[in-house]
Parts: sequence; structure tokens; C-alpha cells
Amino acid sequence: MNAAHRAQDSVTMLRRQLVHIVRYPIALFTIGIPVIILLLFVYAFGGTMGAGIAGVSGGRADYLTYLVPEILMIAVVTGSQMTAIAVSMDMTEGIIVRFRTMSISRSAVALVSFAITWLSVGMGLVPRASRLRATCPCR
Amino acid sequence: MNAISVRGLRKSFGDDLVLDGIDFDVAEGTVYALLGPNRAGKTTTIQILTTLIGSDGGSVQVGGHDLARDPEAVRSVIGVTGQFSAVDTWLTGEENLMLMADLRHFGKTEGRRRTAELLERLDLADAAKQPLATYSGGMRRRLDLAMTLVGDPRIIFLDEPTAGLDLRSRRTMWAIVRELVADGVTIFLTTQYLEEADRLAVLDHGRFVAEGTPAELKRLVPGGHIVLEFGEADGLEAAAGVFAESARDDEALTLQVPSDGGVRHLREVLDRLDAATVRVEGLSLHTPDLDDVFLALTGQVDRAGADREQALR
Repeated sequence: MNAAHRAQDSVTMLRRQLVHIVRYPIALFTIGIPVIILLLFVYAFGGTMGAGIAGVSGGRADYLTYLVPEILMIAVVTGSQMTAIAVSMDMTEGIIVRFRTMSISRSAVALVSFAITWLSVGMGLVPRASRLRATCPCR
Repeated sequence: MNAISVRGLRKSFGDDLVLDGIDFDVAEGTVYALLGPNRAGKTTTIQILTTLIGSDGGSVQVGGHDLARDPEAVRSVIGVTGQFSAVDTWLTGEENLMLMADLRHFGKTEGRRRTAELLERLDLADAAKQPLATYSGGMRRRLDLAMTLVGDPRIIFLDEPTAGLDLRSRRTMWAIVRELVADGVTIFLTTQYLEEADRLAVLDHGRFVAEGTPAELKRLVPGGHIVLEFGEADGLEAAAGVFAESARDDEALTLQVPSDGGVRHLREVLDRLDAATVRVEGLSLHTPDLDDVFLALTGQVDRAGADREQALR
């Protein structure tokens, strides 16, 4: 097992995981949840909630700075949840057993799951970051 | 040259002794079948031989590599099709095979060539581009086998390859097994059914109760017999008088006459019946098959177990 093969196995596994994300709608759904919650709390409840915060401007923008850490947390949790679901589905389907009887890099499977978690967290963050800029002209 | 060589293999899960020191050799290019009732330790044996779980004792050589010292080398020469289909349900049949080809580092062109060939060979070409959700149970098992074959393994482990397959699929499976053996591949399989193999071992409660060729195992059980059916009790009575060593069944009005299954003996039986002017309604000839062997070898222990359960109640 040389380094080139190990890298190649990781790429193969990554490609497999990406196909899963595309074909398994729940994967996208878990990324969408934090976005929906964010939009809901900023535009539906944001004005009301923000009114209680003492500040120069008060209102929505102040409430948003308050809200973002929680949303980040939700994004991380849903991302890892998705990975956990994907890995446990693999386990029940026996494909991991097949991988384990093959001469492939053991770290490839675990590494890719790890990579996917952070990739999905990242994908969750991208629209949110732009949303932040858009809704927060005050800073 | 032995493809697989096992000495004193032991394994227990906690207090549950699953394998109690088994020894066997599998010659290269042969089919070796492990038979046994449920919970006999068949799957555990496969799991150990395919590096999935460790053993508690004994030495194992697979493809000339020591299992404990060099599991990576063992993995490179084996192919495994387990009891539950190890396929990726989110991919199409073709993508599954390409995944295996990529993991064997064949490169795109060679991978595509092998994939196309296997899809054709296992009769999956029509469904190649369809997602696995549309596959039937038999198609999944065939794809599972195809995924094992992608890497051209020299030694193939099949755990219950024909379980849940219909007669036609079972024949296809055996035809493929025979083709592989003709190419010099060694097949180690477990089964609950008794099918054709070069050598068989009967595993029961972690021990081999018998090992040998199918012909050798058949010799272990009492020989065949002729069953005579009668229309009325008088006929049965008369015939039982003619054949002293026979066993009679008064309920079914049948008589079992021990026989070697030869034509000469059959004619002799009929002649003696004619001489005694006994009217026989029907006749059937029974030679011992592997089912009898299986029942005879594993039945003893089962009965003992049933008695124990009875005593506990």
C-alpha cells in the first residue's frame, strides 16, 4: 500500500460520497435546515425579537449578531448528523464489510467522512455568510 | 499447493465457543463447501479467513500468506461475497462495478472493459444504468458476485451464495462457480443446502463432524433401500414374511427392503415377490443422498439439544 494508491482510494471514496449527496435528497435537506431557521428568525421574528435588545439601532440587525453563533452550531450538528447517517447506512448495507476485505487504504473511508462533514458545514456557511453581509448594512 | 490451510482454528465470543479447533486444507482450483446447521460457525470461519475478525488460536495460510502476519497480502488475493449483499444502493450497477475497479487501481479503460464484460457475463447488461432500487434480490446477488470478480481474485469466499435464489439463478450461480474453477480459481463456500463440491466438511457446534469428498460422506450413512407400497395389509404381511431383514410401516402400508440400488438386486426382489404372489401397488428406489448424510451427522446433536430443552421445561 503506497502513498499514491492511498490518495487514489481517498479520491474514489470522495467521489462515491459526493454521488450519495447528489442522489440522497435528505443530505441537501440537512444543509437547508439552518438556512431556513436563519431566514425564519431574521425576517419573521427578527423585528419583534430585536425590539427587546437595548442598542443604538435596536431591531433586526442587533438580533442577527446574537443569533449567528447558534445557527453556526446547528449547521455543525446537522452536518455531523448527516455524516453519521451516511456511515451507519453503509454499515447496515455491508459495503463497508466488502471494503474491509479488500486491499484498500483503511483511512480512506474515515478520512472522506471527515472531509464530507466539513465540506457540508462549509456549504451551509457560504450562503449564510453572504446573507449576513446583505442583511447587515450597519457594519 | 494448498490455497487455504487451517490448523487448530479456535474462536469464542465470550463464553460462547464458536470454533473448537478445526483443521482443513483446500487444494488450489477446487470447490470446498462448508456445511452445517444454523449457528454452527460457518460464517465465523469465513469472517476469520477473510481478515474481518481475528481468531483466538491456530494458524491460517491463505494464498500462501500468513493471515496473522500479513493480512494485507491476503486481502490482495481474495474476493468475498458475504451473506448480505455488499452493494452500494445509491449507485447504478455499472457504477458499483466501476467503484470496485477504481479501488483495485485498474485505470479507466481497463475498468470499463472489465465492467462491461462482467455485466454481460452475469446477465445484468440491460439493467447496468439503472439504480439498485429497481434491482430484484437475484439481480443484487449477481451484482454482488460481479463486484467480487472485478479484481480477478485467486481465492473466492462465498457465504451462502445460493440462499434465497430461485432454481434458475441457483443454476447460473453454479455455472459461474464451475467456470471459475476451470480457470484455476479456488472457491470456499458455506451453504445449508447440499450442492456439488469437490470436498465437503460438515461443521456442527464448532467442530468438524465429517470431512471428505461427497462420495466418502455418502459411505458414512446406511445404504439405500427399496420401498414397496401395498394396497392392503395382507399383501404387506406376506411380503414382510418374504424379506426377513425389511422394515415395515403398518400405517402407510409400506415395506423398506435394504438394497444397494443395483438392477440385479431389484430384479431379485421382484422375482421373490412374484414367487410369493404378492400384489405390489408401487415401488420406489432410494439411494443415500447428501441430505441423508447431513441429517445423520448433525441430527444426533440436535436431538441431544432437544432433549436438554425438554428436561429444562
